[in-house]
Amino acid sequence: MVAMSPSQRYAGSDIALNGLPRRTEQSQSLARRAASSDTGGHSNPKRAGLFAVLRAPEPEQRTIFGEILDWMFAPLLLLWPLSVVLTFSMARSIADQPFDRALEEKSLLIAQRVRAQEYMPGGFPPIIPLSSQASGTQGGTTYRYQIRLPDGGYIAGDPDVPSHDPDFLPDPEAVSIRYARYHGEEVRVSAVHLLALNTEQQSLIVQIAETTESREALANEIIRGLIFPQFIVLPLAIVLVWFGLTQALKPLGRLQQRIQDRRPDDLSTLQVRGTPEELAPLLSSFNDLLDRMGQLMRLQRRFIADAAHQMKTPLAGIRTQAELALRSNDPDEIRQSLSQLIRSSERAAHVLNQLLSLARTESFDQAQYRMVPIAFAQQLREWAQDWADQALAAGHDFGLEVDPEVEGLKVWIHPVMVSEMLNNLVDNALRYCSKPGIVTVRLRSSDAKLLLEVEDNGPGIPEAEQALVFERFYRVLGHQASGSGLGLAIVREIAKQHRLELSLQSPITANGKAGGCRFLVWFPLSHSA
Amino acid sequence: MRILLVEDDEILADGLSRSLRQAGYAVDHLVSGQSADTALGFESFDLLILDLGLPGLSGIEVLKRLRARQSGIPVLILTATDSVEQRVKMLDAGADDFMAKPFALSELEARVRALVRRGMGKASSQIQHGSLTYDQSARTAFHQNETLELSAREVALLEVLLTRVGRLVSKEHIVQHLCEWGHEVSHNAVEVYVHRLRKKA
Repeated sequence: MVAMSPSQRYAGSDIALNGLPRRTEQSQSLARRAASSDTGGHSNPKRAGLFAVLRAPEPEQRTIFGEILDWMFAPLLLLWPLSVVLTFSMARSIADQPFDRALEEKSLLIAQRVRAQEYMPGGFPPIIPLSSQASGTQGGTTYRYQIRLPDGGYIAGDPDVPSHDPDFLPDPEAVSIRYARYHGEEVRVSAVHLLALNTEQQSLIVQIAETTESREALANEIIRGLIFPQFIVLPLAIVLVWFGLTQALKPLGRLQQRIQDRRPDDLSTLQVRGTPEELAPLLSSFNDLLDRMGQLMRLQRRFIADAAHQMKTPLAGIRTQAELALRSNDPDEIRQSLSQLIRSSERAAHVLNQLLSLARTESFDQAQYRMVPIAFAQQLREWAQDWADQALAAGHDFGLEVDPEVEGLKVWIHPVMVSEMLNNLVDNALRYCSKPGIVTVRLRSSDAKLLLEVEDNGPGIPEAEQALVFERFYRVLGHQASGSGLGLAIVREIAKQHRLELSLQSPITANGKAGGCRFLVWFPLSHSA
Repeated sequence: MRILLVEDDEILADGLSRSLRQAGYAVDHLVSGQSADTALGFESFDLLILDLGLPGLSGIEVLKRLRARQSGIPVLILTATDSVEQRVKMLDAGADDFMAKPFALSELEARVRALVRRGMGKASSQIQHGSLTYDQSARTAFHQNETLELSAREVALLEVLLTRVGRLVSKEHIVQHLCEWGHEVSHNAVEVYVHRLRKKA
């Protein structure tokens, strides 16, 4: 029942195998598997039960089998000695009963005789009747008699019989029986209190001491009868429990085998039918996990397929246009192909950049870069310079509106990440605005937060698609815009990491016309500033 | 021969359209799966070139709907992934051929020719009718082993007529298979083409 710690085990095996430490782990796991298949794994040296826990404080691998055995047998082994002690005392009291009854009768008989002597002439002080019943040894038991006054004064008989307690006289005419010591030996002593019936008489205490050999013989016999079967039943019970546990834990082994036999890409759910009820919750959690893993894998696969499409399509365009240019003799055709080539390579580069940016964002380590308090309005003006240039190059109108009351207010952000997020929002607005485009970035305060709005006058986003536009590679239909489909996914990821509220309104009413869309980002204010 | 090209990347679509038009096909270009599905419902094409990664309705869904309508039009799929799983999925959905991006233009053109030919139920690229021979890959016609000098329109018309030998060909059918949207010709013009072709043949 005491488990050896695995580290000890490994160390020993390592020495034996002389520098082949990998083998030991392997062979141990093989051994464990073999053990678990035929005996339920109880021979597993890694099993640490109750006693091992007391011994080894470091966390160890445990088996249910060992746990059950420990928790069953440890209390059992503690209770067993207790039951033996109880058995002994019970056997004693059982054996005492018939002997005590005989002693009581004997005492009453002797007491009657002593009383009868008193009526005879010269009957005082009374003496012990010398009948065969009243003295000596009978069947291995020795009796001693004695008569005393209630105050302890000696009258007759064996003076060595221990005196009764003068302060606690036995009830008159009743027999009281107690254990006492006589010549260093344990004896059973009975006492009868004879009350004086008239003034001529004296009250007397008649005692008989009886040795306990016969009682002990009987008690021992009873104990033998009770204890011996326990020595047979207990080991038998251990064997049966062991066997039962092995049988009961077999479904676990079968389940383990089922999981082990699976192909690595098999994410189908495990059958709950045919397994014990206790395993059902475990199985259903496991199935839940499989489900989520499957979902994640499907998402991942779709992402890879989408990314491949987004990357390879511009490449296909480049190749097609290049081949066309090579074939053609018409300078105009060649020129057209070349300009398409440039656009296509720009698009491929854009997709690649966005993919890298998304990867960077997703693996962004918050701990590595500290957030800093930034005077947001001021920072926004700096960024807006670039956006204005971009808008100008694309022939769109760009406006920045900062509410004077947010001037100087600070927010805690990673400036690089937030700039990436806003670049994407503005880039998105510039790509999807109508021509001539009007893109407005607005900063004001709202509910003790800074509210940043990015607004365009494009066709807007239908309500059904508003939740989807933040998905990776989702693009709103009917646009010739050359987005990568990742911009808003990056925005969402950064907002999530900064715990910023992000929302979308479309259509909006701007300059009395409905349409376009507005992205809103709320930045919590920094109070330390 | 009229081809429907469904591709959401305008640059690739531009390159493909130009190359196919140079080869004498009428090419219509659509950017979304939804519009392709609608167009395929009421127009007849000789070949569908379909990109899989379309916004909205996916290419595979367009293909499934097309086949559900019992349309036998040959379909060439353009795809970014060339995994076996994907190929099986496409073939099961009713694709005739597929090309993984990026591809060589000449290979695409060869596959387009092969698919159009197969769509007409011909294994060889030569069509023989009486003393008239038409080579589909070279797009040249011979009459008693003499090359006929034909314009692109006349070649296309001859192709339409030769694919329906022995059957009545309506002017409507000719216009449908000859012309792209927005470039339809009048029935009179068809008569003029037929007249010219008759003279040369």
